[in-house]
Amino acid sequence: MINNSGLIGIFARRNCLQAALKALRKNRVDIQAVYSPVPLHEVEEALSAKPSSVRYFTLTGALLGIVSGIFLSAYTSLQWNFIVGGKPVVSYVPMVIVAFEFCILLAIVFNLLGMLVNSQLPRFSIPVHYDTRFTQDRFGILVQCAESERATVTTILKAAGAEEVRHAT
Amino acid sequence: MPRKCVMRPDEIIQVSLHASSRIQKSFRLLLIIFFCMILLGAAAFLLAISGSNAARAWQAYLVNFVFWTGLAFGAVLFVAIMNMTSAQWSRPIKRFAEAPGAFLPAACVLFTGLYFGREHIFPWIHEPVAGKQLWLNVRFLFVRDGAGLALLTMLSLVLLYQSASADRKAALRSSPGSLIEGKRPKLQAALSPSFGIVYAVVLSLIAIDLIMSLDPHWVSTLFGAYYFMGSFYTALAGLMVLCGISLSAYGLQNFIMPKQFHDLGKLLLGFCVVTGDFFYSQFLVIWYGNLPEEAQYVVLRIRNTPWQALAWIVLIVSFAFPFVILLNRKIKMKPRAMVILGVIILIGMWLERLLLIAPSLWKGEQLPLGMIELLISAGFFGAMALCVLLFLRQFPILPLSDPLFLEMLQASHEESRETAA
Repeated sequence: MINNSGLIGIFARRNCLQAALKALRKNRVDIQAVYSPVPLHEVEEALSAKPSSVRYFTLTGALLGIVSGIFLSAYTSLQWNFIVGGKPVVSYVPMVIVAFEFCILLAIVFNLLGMLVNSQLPRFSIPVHYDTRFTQDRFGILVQCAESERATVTTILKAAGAEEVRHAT
Repeated sequence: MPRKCVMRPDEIIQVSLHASSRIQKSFRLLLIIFFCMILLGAAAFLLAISGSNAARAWQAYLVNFVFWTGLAFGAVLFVAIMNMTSAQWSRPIKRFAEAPGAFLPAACVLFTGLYFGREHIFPWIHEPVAGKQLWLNVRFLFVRDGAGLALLTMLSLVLLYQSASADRKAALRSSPGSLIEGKRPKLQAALSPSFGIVYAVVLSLIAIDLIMSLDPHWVSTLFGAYYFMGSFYTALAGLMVLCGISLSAYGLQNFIMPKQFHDLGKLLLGFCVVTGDFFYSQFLVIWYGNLPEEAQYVVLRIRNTPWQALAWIVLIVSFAFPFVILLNRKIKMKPRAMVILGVIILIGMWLERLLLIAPSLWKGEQLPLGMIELLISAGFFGAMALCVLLFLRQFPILPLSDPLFLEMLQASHEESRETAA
């Protein structure tokens, strides 16, 4: 959960945002979130966040899909028990197709679920610190800091070119 | 953090002009090695066809011909696709994609060589198939395939010459500090789509005539597409190897960056899947239909010795293994790992060509995989490597006059400046 007892800095320019991130990291300030109206790969790199856990959801879905595809085709074949063209009732050649399709289907579904879980969506109330301009033309940094550090952090953000620094609560 | 490209124009020209001098010392050695390989291959081949191993030598010759010709055309197709899509990322490796195309004139000469081995190669000469003589007769086959090869080679050479000679002119004209103003090449843009179409037609023709007709009762409508997609896959693997080796040999670390390897790796993964998919689409239909004349082609290869083991090796080495490895994101950015994987894929695809051709011709107990095949393959490899080496020496190593290359440099330059700011 994003702890919203902190400060939020609002920026108009990308390089100011980057400078602020650099300075914050240098001073070991706890960065909670960065808001941006556009994808910023260099920010992702700079934050060097660890890879999201969505991929494990996807992998689980894919493996589950393969197993259920094989199971479904074997089960349905056994229900009819037809011998066609002298081939075994449960044969693996056509199974590959079903397993493959199920692999993709469940991988996508799990990927979507993993994404929702990870981003804590759907969220029915907007956090108090959130500024609607973050989806328009402003960048934002949410930092977590103790009462005593507020003044220093505010100076860092302002020095980097923040238009506005305010309490996140 | 990936390394950013911040090169001044004169540096680009310097790098391009002096790339070949970097390998000056080893150039002569390489030249001699490749030349010796050609001689060795030719000697082994001539010795074999004059002795009792004639059929086996011709079979190895054919396998190598379809493998290396497919690779060369596939590489030119990559250039044509770059032109059609106006791709920026692949501009630094453009010359390396063009280089295997230099082998094509040699491929045309090697094709005429097949004429002398026709008795050993085409079973339908001795046992004509009723109703198919109109298509399967020696004269028509060599005329149509020869014409197709000549047409596609000509298209390739025009494409290559247009781009490479413009760069050479630009390099000669340029003075330090001035960036060459490149025009968007109209002729290349016009030729590239037609190259794509002729590529599909001619390579299908080669696949049908030189591979499928060896088992004249067998038909598969997807076979042509399977061959030309496999060839493109082979070409991408070859390009990966060439880029990885040239990276340090020519000192291009500032141009060919992990990003280029990452993108090339993604393409390789894509075409690994496409090639596997085309194989399976054929296999599934044959399996379902279970018609004797169709199924025997597959049964011979996956159920009978000595081919059974080879079939599994091919499936693993050219499909399953690269697929699993290439899923990994980070490994695609490591040039050394990608060179090793590229070589593995090339070996896998070569064995796959052997598996398509040899069981139709070879009736021995053992796999036809020994000294004869090794030496003849070395000869073909030597020819390809020699052509690539000479091509890269003849022309600037970077596409200096390519406007998209300059745009790409500009973009990465700005990006790095913004990050620095």
